[in-house]
Amino acid sequence: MLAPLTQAEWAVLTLSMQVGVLAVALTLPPAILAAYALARWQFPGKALVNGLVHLPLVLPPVVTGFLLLIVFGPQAPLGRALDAIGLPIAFRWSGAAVAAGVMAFPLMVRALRLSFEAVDPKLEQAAATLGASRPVIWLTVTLPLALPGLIAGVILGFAKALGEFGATITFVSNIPGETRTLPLAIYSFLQLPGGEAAAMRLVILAVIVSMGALLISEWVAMRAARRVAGA
Amino acid sequence: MTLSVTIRHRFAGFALDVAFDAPGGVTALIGRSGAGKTTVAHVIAGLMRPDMATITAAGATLADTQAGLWLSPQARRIGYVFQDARLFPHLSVRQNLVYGARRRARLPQAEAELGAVAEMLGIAALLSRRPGALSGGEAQRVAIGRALLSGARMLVLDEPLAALDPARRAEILPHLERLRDEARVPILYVSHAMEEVARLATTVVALDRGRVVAQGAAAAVLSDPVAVPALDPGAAGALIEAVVMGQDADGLTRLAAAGARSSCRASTPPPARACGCGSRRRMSWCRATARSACRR
Repeated sequence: MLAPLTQAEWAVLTLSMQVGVLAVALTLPPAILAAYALARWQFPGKALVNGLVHLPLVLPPVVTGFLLLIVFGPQAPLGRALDAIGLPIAFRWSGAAVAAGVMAFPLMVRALRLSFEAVDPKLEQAAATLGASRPVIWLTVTLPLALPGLIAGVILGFAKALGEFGATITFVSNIPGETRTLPLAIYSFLQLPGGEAAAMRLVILAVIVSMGALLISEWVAMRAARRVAGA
Repeated sequence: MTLSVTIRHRFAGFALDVAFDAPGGVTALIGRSGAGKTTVAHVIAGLMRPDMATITAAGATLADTQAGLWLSPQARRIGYVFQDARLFPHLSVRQNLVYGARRRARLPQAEAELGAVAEMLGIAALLSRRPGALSGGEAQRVAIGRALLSGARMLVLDEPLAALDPARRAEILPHLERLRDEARVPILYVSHAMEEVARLATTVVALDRGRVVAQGAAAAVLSDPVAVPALDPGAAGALIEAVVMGQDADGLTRLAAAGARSSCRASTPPPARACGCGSRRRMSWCRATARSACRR
């Protein structure tokens, strides 16, 4: 049934998907919070927060990976603390997800921020006169109306996580079966003499997965947009 | 008094200093653009906090800033109908209608009242639609229903017809009259359109540049020269309550004004519009904004 893929290729694909999903799941809540805060709240140091959010976008990925190693590495206090509670991430696939999530964070915040800014505060005001508390307004009016942007942000983040290379290889290295995701596997094959054919197979796989994610997101976002437009 | 309001607030270059009382029924808050009508409505609903406010509505104190009391919009139970309807686009008409009831845990009551309210507002056929598929007039009637079903102790209608064309306005007015006569919820009706005020209001409060210039029974205020500054130029006129006696062959309508029985002839065409308030068998009580059309 899995004939077109070798066992090793299949392992790379499932690992990549696993990393991508966990990266998005970890990043989405803080991304929603940051996007909403930047879209709606006025607070001192807002420009600084905005800069920090965008930092992974402008830093060389190797630098981000190195910083992650400094913060979460086996010798770092935070890394040791995670180790102690049984959640080690350095040189683990979960660490790859953290690296990918950090890299995807600014892209997700940007998509979400735009969609929060597009939600009419007058609708939230109307909901308040109808007795809805702030959290309820957020859940029943703001979030549903921002849904197309949320979906776009999730897919964008997922695609970025699948393709993340520099921060991942720096932070969690290139361990087969543990942290060797699609781009790392392609890179590894290209380092071997005669590895081009195997690399090409993974390239095709990457194109198929990325296109599939894009098409699904377009379709879902279209449905959500139609629903939000109220027609 | 069903509604008692005192508000003071200083804006840059504009001071609002308003106090009025209103009994039940429809109280029209009239005045030109910039007179402070919408600000007063927002303060009553808790959407804007002024320097000083004391507000009681239907027996509940909503605000008494001197005593440090300022209820949130959520807690006031003021059904606010905005000029631009503000229906939730991602919910169906039915879900919009029960949105407030759901939040205030009175969904069963709302479900029970839904049919009657939808029928009264003429929106029963629209329940499964989305707001995007509604006309402006339909959307506004749904917004009124939504405010009504939310368990409001009072409705505030903030120029609900201003964004609509004359045909849509004419379509909604009868529904508003039914609302006034059937819903038994006091209504504050913010407007500068004399046509609407004359047809709907039992009490009128006239604002001009942030101050109340006249308040009292509709017929008295609307024919009071003091209220003229609160009106749009050209909208000044007299409200005459009269009995329709019949229609002459030349298209004029014979009216008998209440006490005096002097016959007044109004040529406001078409006659039915001037007297469209519903009939009581043999005679219909009529409220007509008589401009130059009415002569003795």
